[in-house]
Amino acid sequence: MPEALISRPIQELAPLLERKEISPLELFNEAMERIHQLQPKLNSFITITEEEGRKAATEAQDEIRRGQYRGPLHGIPISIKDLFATRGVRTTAGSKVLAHWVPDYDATAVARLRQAGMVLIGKAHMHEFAYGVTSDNPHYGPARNPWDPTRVPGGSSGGSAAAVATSQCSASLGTDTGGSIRIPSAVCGTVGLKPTYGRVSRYGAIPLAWSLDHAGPITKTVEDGAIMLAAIAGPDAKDRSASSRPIPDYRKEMQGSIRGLRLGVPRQYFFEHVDPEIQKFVDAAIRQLESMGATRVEVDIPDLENCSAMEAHITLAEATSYHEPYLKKQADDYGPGVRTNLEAGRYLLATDYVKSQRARTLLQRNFNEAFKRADVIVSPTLPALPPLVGEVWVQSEDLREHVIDAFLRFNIPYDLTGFPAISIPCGLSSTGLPIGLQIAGKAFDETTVLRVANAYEQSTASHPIRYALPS
Amino acid sequence: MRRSGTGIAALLLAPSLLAEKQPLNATIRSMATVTGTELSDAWLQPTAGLVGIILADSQPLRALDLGSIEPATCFKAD
Repeated sequence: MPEALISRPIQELAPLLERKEISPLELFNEAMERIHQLQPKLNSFITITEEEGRKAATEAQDEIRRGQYRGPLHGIPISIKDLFATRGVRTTAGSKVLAHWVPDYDATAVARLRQAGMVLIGKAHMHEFAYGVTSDNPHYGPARNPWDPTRVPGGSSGGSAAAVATSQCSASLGTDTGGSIRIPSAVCGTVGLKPTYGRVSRYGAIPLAWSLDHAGPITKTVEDGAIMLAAIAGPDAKDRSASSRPIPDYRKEMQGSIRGLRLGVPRQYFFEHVDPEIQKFVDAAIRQLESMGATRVEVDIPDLENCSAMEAHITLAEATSYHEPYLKKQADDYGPGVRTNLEAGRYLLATDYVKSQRARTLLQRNFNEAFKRADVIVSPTLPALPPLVGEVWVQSEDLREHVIDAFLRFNIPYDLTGFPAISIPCGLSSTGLPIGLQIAGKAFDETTVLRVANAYEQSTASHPIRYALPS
Repeated sequence: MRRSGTGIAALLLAPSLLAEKQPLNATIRSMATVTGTELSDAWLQPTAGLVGIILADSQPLRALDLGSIEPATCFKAD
């Protein structure tokens, strides 16, 4: 049976679309067929935009036929995490609080994807208000991991990663406050890129914590991530945090050898209490990168043990501040987990919040010292495999810990510093679950992060963990 | 609940923290005039539990000497 078009990455589909060898409607129909097949099993979407998507695919087809090809996202089916405002399409943020909100505007990143010609195929399932890592949602049911539907797909952008992994769409737009792009990417076998803080506008995204929130792509390949980032990056008058730094030609500059690049390996913290199987695959990935000419250097990054407390103070304070008006009017509409977090945010000290923000400066300095010796820093994305739906404990080597503690551990340093980080697949566990390799870089140096990730991906010849639909 | 892993283990194992559990409930209840919100009994226990865990986790952060380091995020006048 021939491979479905929709299972191919954007980098392969785009030239076919440009040459009119395939049509946006063909792609849309394939994606929609998968959605109808998989939604009852995986619950990757909160809203499926079949009618709007078909209209957009038809328009894209007409434009391309007229010779008005817009670029590599023209006619590509894309899902959007359901916390980005989408004009005319319900945007719930995975909550009952916003269950009936239909925005009359697009988030900036969504507007840019529309401008690039995307076909919006649906609003992806997520953890309620992005405030968690399992996507086990009390209002819309649990999203499920495609590799083992009894397990969580990670979160908070769980539906996004599950949908991309199973080719229900070609790419998705997610957000990452404590790892919410990279965590689901690691456990679903996709590529998740958290760009530098300020690289992508967050205007129109329901915030979790303003000073930690990042928007970024979830894709099948590293090059697809570069294509998505190029479309959404850039300054935005509506988001004062959005940087006006020049945007490189990621797709072009990420190509090429990694010979001579220095791989920083922080054995402390990032390699502690890690599931032995994850450790094995990440060590093998590092050896693979070394075999391609990269040089391994050990790096020490002090003060990482404070990351968890810093993240807690910042996230709880900022999230409660945002939600206070809703809490006053609709407190009973929140799920119990998120409600508890929001209530707790009222009882922490402002001095701890400010100290956490000050400690971020220290953390940035510590990482910048490490980046004098290394071009990128590599680690596992997660220390443990995903738990069963409804289970909150995970085992990582010698430590049994709460899934939030475990899944944030290696991710949160890059939300606190704002430095770019990507998760790419580097193997499958003996139980058939994907494992993620994290590569982080200097501020605004997504290009080097992408280059190392692309080199690794290319070196694995055929994609190491391509997902096959269940029969 | 947000996190209850190592924190909860610490809470159960440390007598000093156990001793603080009840006063934390009472403290939170007494803060109604500060927060403007009366927390019902159903939410008091989990909220106090989470706050207790975060406070226990925060001791090394509080002990961190940051000298004159300023916050990472700053107000922009433009």
